[in-house]
Amino acid sequence: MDLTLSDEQQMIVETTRRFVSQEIAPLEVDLDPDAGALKPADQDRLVGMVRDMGFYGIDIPAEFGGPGLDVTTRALMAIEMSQHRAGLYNPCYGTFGGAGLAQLYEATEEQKERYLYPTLRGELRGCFALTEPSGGSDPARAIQTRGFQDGDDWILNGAKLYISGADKADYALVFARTSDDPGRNGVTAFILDTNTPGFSVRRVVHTLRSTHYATELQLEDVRVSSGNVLGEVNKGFAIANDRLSRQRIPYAAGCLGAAIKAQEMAIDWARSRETFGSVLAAKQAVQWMIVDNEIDIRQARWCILEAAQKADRGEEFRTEAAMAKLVASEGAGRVVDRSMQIHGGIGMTKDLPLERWYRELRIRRIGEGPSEVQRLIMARELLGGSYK
Amino acid sequence: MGSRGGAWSGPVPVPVAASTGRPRATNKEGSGRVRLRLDGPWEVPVSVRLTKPWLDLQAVEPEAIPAQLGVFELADADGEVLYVGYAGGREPFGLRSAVATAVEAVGGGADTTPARFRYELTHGYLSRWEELLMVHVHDSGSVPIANQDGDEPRGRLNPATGAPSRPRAEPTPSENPDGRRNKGGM
Repeated sequence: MDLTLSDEQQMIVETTRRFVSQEIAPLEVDLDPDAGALKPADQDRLVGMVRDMGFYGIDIPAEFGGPGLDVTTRALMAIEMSQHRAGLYNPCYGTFGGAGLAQLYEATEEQKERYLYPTLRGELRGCFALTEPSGGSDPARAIQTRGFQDGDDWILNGAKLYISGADKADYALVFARTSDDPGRNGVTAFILDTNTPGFSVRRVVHTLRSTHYATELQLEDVRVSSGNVLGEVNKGFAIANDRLSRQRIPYAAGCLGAAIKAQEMAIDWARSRETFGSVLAAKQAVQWMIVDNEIDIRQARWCILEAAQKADRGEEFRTEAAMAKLVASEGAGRVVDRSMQIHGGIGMTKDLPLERWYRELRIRRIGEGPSEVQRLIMARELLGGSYK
Repeated sequence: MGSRGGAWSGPVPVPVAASTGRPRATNKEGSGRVRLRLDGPWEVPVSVRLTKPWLDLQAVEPEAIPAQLGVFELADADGEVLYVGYAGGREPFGLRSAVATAVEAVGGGADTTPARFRYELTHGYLSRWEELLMVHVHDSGSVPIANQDGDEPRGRLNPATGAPSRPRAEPTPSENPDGRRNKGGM
């Protein structure tokens, strides 16, 4: 595998790195350590800069007006964009724009007119409502939200849990069981307006993250038109599953970015902090932690770029994406943990971003499929189809 | 040591089995406290509204307010919630200085004289703060008067039923049983 960057990729990486260090990081000095948003004036100014750079709507396909980046370049940017305090869950505070829900690119033209295009113009927000209280790791079997056909409409009843952004969303992509099939062939995806009677955001779910909370939804006799079925009836899980695989590569890249920044901080600190008559960097215990950090970082970079390159070549990349997500999320957690150890007391404080990354990286081992599910995906390929 | 042999004996959420029920949120009337019921022997108490006791601003020494992260509410003498704030990671003395700063700022308004406050310690101060603002909007139609300059939450929440029509402060220990309030400055 060739990890050499093209001239264009090198230029994009350097531009993104400069943007983060010169435009994003200085603004964080005045923000709360757990802040999830910039001041509105700063946000508007930086969005304008990103538009001028040609990167706005970074995940929007070229045919819909986006920059049309390949997966590898997108991953390289994600590594850079997450190298600031809020970068894990809010890289560059969203100044590169969103792409909306990727599943909507498969929607009918009428659905695109109602939901996708307004979302790309920044007029509507959507949320992705898959996980339920009955479980999130095996959603195809855990979904208990039911949909029953009533004339031309469907009636939905159930609950969703750990749904990000539902309280701010204009519509939700809701997955419900619509047949007696207990597995993936009985699930349908619905585009649901959040002002529909019976749709309630019941509560905020507080987690290790102080900002960007999740929510719990309740659906009580929610009526939705057949025209709002996304894709085919009973084939909705394939739509959800496609997103889960693709999302893992930038998700892993974000973890790697935080790890790289933590390592950079650890090296700076080790070179300057003196104890017992010499700098920390002179002590073998610290040297080994720095080396172990670097091993974790390089493993993650290799796995991420391998998955991204296979995706760009149009090859099957499900296993590689699972491996990248597993290696990067677990490795980054270890890197930040060691970096805190090297920093000592100040590493525990909100003066530095390490404690925030430590909390948020713990979630990354669960989000987008826990480590055990990633291993399960890889085991299926290694052991063959009979174990699927 | 808990009866299950672990080091933690408090409430533990038990995941719902895929073949059985779903969580149900119920609310004790007027308590503002929701209990998330998961299938199994454990329940997770979830306090959507701030339910800590109100404290009289005049009766509490500043040093008695913890210098920790958290959220707080200020109310006037009539019990109207005037402000929902938080003590974040940049606050020099946590809730102690955040409450003092807010009392001074909110008290400058003609119709806003804080008389009591209550607080909740939490590391998740930002999400809790936004949740309290959303609940206030749900209950009363708008954010508290002193939050109306830029603190409007972007989200909306529809918590379990049983909410009071307007958020009001419960009687403080300094009030007389017949409801008359003690007079006096800070």
